[in-house]
Amino acid sequence: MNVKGTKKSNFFDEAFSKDERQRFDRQLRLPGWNQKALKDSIVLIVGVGGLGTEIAKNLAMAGVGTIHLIDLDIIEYSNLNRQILFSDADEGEPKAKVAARALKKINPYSEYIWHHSNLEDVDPGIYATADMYISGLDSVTARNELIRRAVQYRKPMIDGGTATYYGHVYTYLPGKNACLQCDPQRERERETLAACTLVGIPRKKSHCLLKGQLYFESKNNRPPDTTILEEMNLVINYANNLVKEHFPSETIFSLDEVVKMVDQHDPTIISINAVIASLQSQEALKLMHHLKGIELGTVNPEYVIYNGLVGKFFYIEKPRNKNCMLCSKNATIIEEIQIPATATIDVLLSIIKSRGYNYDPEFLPSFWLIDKKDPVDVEMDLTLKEQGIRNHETLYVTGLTNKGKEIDLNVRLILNQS
Amino acid sequence: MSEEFEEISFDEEEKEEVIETEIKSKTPDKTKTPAGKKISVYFQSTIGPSPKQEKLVVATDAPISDIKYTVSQIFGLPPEEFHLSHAGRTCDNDDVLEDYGVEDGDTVLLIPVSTAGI
Repeated sequence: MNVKGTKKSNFFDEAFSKDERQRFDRQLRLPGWNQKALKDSIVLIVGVGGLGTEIAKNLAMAGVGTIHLIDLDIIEYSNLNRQILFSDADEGEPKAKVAARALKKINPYSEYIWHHSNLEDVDPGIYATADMYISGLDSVTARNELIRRAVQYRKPMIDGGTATYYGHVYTYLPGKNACLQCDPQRERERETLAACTLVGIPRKKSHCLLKGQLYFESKNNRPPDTTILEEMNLVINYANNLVKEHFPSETIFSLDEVVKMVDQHDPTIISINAVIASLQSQEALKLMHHLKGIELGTVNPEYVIYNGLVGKFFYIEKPRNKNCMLCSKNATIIEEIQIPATATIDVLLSIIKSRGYNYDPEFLPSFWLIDKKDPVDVEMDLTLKEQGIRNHETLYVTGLTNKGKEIDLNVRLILNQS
Repeated sequence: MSEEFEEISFDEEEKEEVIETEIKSKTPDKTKTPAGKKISVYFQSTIGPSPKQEKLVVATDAPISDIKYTVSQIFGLPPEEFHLSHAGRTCDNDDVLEDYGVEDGDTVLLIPVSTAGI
């Protein structure tokens, strides 16, 4: 709380224009609040969809100074039931770009930097210099990519997710609670048909539908469009004939069921997204204070579950896994190496050697560009610059030994700016 | 010839290592209850239209997938809609209950598979 009399009031802070002070007047009155902490914060919002747009809207309105928006997707008409920033955009425009444009209208005093990209290809310098990451992602794979960066750069990551009427919020606090790899999650199982079951008798009712889809695809060389009734009818007739033949005791597929199973789109509603996004935003605002050394409540280190069907919250403690491959002492060592961008990988290897790592001269160590979505092979004789290796980029090195034991290494490069 | 051979053995070594680490990170040291033991566990749902708790007697060496199937029948919830969670750890279908150090009288939660957000 604002007990120290020495602290400067934000009402007269020179960092803010008169317009800004008027805009934020009501929140400047909040006990313990520090608007400057928000203004000086850099936040990454990864995934600008149902959760991401709500979070971005909240943080922009609250006056967070710099917001990076990362999303690979383009806008679809079906986003508009919940993604407020896209109301006046066209279908097919990049989400990140349109979000930045809409936010500038909502609060012109902040910076919005958009990245129409997958999260892997965003410049590692952005991950290294941001204060925190907020995820509005829809896959376990993407979350795993983000948590690796969070752990290795020691950044808090505020994760959120939804499923029908439920949702969760979990804030990873480096060194304090479990990272997402302490308790690895699996990707949801999607019903897919193995090639071997294609020719055989359907073993499950759902196989009948998959066969219906494959039948359509073989005739049309494309998957069926769930918005075209005739195409859905072709699939459903084929599927239900198989159901009648092989599963006479089961009910046949309804049109609703088939649409849901064919396009595999997750059902979702703005109210649940808004609850989860608001919880994430509120944790973020507190964290922004804490990271600037200002007290304001505490961030909940627990995994919070919201059940919107009954309006109840549940809390789960997430202790760290002392054997975690990402955040415990078992994790791969990170060596930070300062080096000119004009140095070759060969030079880098010599520096690594000078730090006490060895290798079999007949088998040179391998370097892997783990900060890229589709990494290319690293060439020993080319310079870092020539291979597009960026400042703060991490290379994973295999084939080294340390004190006679095989060891893998993460080498984080700090490139000298010449 | 010899080069090829060395390459193959190197690959195999790598694969083995990966498998080992997966098991490690999923199973922290914990005193295990003896195999085949029957224990009473409270299953508590956080999802569904009426979250509730049920006490069930289960075998500690029962596969998670079997327990999930049973629990889904009792709670009337599709098994793909929830994970079982014990002491902050999410239970994998391929594991058995004792891998998570579940003891008599413990609570196991049914939590939503909330990985969407887009």
